Parts: sequence; C-alpha cells; structure tokens
Amino acid sequence: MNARWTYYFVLPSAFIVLWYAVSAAHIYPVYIIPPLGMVLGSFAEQINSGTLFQNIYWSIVRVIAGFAIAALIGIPLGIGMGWSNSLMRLVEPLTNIIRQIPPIAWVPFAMIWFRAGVVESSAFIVFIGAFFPILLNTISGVKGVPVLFIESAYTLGASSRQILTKVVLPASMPSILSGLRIGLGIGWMSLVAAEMMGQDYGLGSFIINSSTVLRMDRVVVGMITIGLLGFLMDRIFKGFESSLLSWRGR
Amino acid sequence: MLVLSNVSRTFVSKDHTIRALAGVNMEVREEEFICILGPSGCGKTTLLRIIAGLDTPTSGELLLDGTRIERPGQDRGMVFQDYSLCPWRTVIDNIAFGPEVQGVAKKERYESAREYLRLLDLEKFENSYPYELSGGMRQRIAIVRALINNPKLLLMDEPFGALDAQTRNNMQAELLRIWEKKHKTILFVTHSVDEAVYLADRIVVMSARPGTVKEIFTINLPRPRIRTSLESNTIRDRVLKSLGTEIELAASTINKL
Repeated sequence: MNARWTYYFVLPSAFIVLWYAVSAAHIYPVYIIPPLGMVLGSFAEQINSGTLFQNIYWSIVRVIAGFAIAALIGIPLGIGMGWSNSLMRLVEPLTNIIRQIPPIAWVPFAMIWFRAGVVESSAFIVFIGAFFPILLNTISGVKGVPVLFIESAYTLGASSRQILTKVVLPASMPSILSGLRIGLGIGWMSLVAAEMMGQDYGLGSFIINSSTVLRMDRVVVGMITIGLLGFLMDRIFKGFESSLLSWRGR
Repeated sequence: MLVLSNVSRTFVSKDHTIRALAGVNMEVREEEFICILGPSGCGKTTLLRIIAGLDTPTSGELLLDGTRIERPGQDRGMVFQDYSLCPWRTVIDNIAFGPEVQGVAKKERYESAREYLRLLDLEKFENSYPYELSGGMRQRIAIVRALINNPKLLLMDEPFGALDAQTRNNMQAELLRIWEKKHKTILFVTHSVDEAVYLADRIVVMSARPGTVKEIFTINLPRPRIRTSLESNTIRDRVLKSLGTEIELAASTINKL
C-alpha cells in the first residue's frame, strides 16, 4: 500500500478506534452512544435477514427515479434558459421562488398527491432536491461558454442548432456534470428525510422505525449505510465525470 | 473579388457613441495577400469581423464576387487571435468541424483533415487534444480548420500575436508556404510592421479612430523575403512613418479624453 492510500484511512481508522475506546469504557448508556460491537452485531443481523438490502433497494430506486427526472428536465431547461434571454425572463422568477422552499416542505403534498405509490412520493422529494442545482449549474455553464467558440463555429458554417449541440452543450459539460453531482448529493439527503415521514421501506424509515423502539444501534446502522452509499455514488460519479472530461487534461 | 464601399460602423451604448469605421473603401484581388495595419482601436478587428459576417456595418456595402456579405459563410474562413479550437475535440475533429456541420460523412471528412495534417507535418497529433499542443501548433491547426472549407477568403485577426518571436517567424514562413500552395486570398490584421512587410503583397494602413484607409503600400519584393534587406528596411521605414503619425494622433485623442 503506497503512502497516498494510507492517508485515506488515517481519519476513518482513528474514528473507529475512538468509538471503540468510548464504548469499552462504558461511560455512556447504549442509547446515547451505541457501542461499536453492538452496532456491528446489528449490521450482521440486518444483512442476514435481508432487511438492509430491502431498504437499500427502495432508497436507491427512489433516488434514481427522482434524480433522472430532475436531470431530464433540468438540463434541457437550463440550456434553454442560458441560451435565450426571453426564456430566462419567463421562467427564472418562478423557479427562483420555488427554489427557496426546502424539499422537505413538499412532503405533505407529496404524500397526498402520490398516496398510492411506494416510490413516487419520495422520488418527488428527490426530484425537488436535485432539480435546482442541476438547473442552475447548467444555466451558468451555458452562459459561460466563450463567445469565441461560438463565433468561430459560425464562421466555419455551423447553424444555430449545430452551435447548440456541437459547441454550447459540450463546452458547458463540466458545469452540467458538477450540477448533476451536487444534485445527486442533495437528492440523496432529501430522500432520507422524506422517507422519515411516512414510508414503509427505505433507509430513512428504517432509522425512524428503529428510533421509536429506541434501537439506537440500528439507527447507527442506517446512518452509516446512508453515508457509505452516498460516498460510493459520489465516487462513481466522480470517476464518470473525469473520464468524460479527460480533454481538460487534469 | 472583395469590394468594400463606404463601410462604416458606429457603436452606440448608453453613455457614448463610438465611430469605429468611417467610410472604408477597399478592393481585394484574387490570391492577394493583404495586411492591415493601424493604431490600436482603429477598427481593424471590427472591419475583419464585418467581412466575416460576425458584425454588420452601420452603412456601406460589402461584395464578395458580386454577392452581398450579410452573415458568416463557408466562403470566408477566419482565424482568431486567441486560441479558438474546441478543447473537447481532438485535433482531427477540430479540423473536420466545417465538413461535419455540412454533413460530410466521417470517412471523407477525416480523409481531407488528414491531408491538411500532412501539409502541416502534424500527422502524429491526430488524436491529441488542444491542451496537449503548443500555442504555435494550435494556431496552425486553426488555420487549416478554416482552410478545409476551401474558402475564397481567409481572414486572420492577429493570429500570431500571442506567440513568441521565434515561433512567430516560423509561422509566417509556414503561412506563406500554405498560401502559395492553396492559392488563397488572405486579409491579415497585424500590429507588427515587420510582419506586414514580410508577408504582404499590399499593406493597408488605417487611420486613427474613426478608421478609414489612409494609405496603401504595394510591396513587389520577391519571396522569401529577407527581413533585414535594404529594400525591406526602406519599405518598413515608409510604413512606420505613415503609421507613426496615426499612432500619435490616436494617443492625443486618448489624452484629450
């Protein structure tokens, strides 16, 4: 293992050691700081019974659904708003007002509107959380495309439509991708919060259900799973991003 | 082939009006190499942009082979001062951009792009990205990217301005080689009298703002020209004198502001 890799493990290992030390000292009751061993035990239990995977499955399905719809609407709309001043003037005030409302504030309506769906109501909250970072980053990406690229494409004979697809879109790709990455992170966080309010499955509801019966060890299992999965998604996305943007040369 | 009659351009903004060009008249002949010199702010770039179709004149008319110039078109290629290659495209895809937007099939457009890469002796950079190339290489690619459309007119806006002196000299020689081989008509904007005397068939000196054609010098020296020859020096002297009064004039207007 080289030096660079060791760096990655220093703080997580220190955290685990500290956690172990605190739980071994029996200073706090288990419901205030659940001991490491207990949490590992309930991790194993959740994995063996299959409940953990069931919860993960529902959470992932919801986040993918909400995120995909947010990207499908946010990117084209953002390109349109960045490109056309009149579309910007038309849409910006409304979206900017809605943007100020926290995703969680939509939970009551999500629950009424999508009463029947296991996926829909939480996916809707993910959509709200992911949509605005995607939209705003796409707009700023399009607005930041150097005029020089656009003008040189015009002199080479490109039509406005070709400028949009062959110049504006690829030139704003770095910004669009970072919007997607931020959107994925915020979507994931909003999802868990949404699941805490009235879902049968999912990591958020697992946490809430465990806490009502004071199984704080399971709460920690849920928290760690959320953290690790979010981390994993971000890393996968980062890899995807840097392979797509290899032309930047860094 | 290119006729400019009374081309004027005035920029109007909230607090002031700037007359960039005031009645430019000029005629460019087939396969001619013209350099445009003038003090900063005399509207050289504006003139080139109008010819490219990126800007429209406030009044006056531009005819290219009898057809009015109103918008950008593949009959005019342009090379910009700053690096304008698409950084997300490889060298070959940058060169093939023009044929690509015209709907030429990939195989054919790559074939003609490779032909230009051979002309530059840059074949081995076919799949490189612009960030991997030096400034001189990028500008050479930008030149052939404009040439692949086979334009009647090649417009160049201080294309070597950002390069170091040595690279600049090499690029000038290479440009002449390409120009002779491809029989192009070139309009070349520059700040450098030395560059203009080395390259041009005719040098157009523009007046300080508002820009007009002040004087035209015809250079009949054979190529390749010796930069330090007596004849070169004599012409350089005359051009500098003509330009010098304009630079002083431009400076005094700035002082008055």
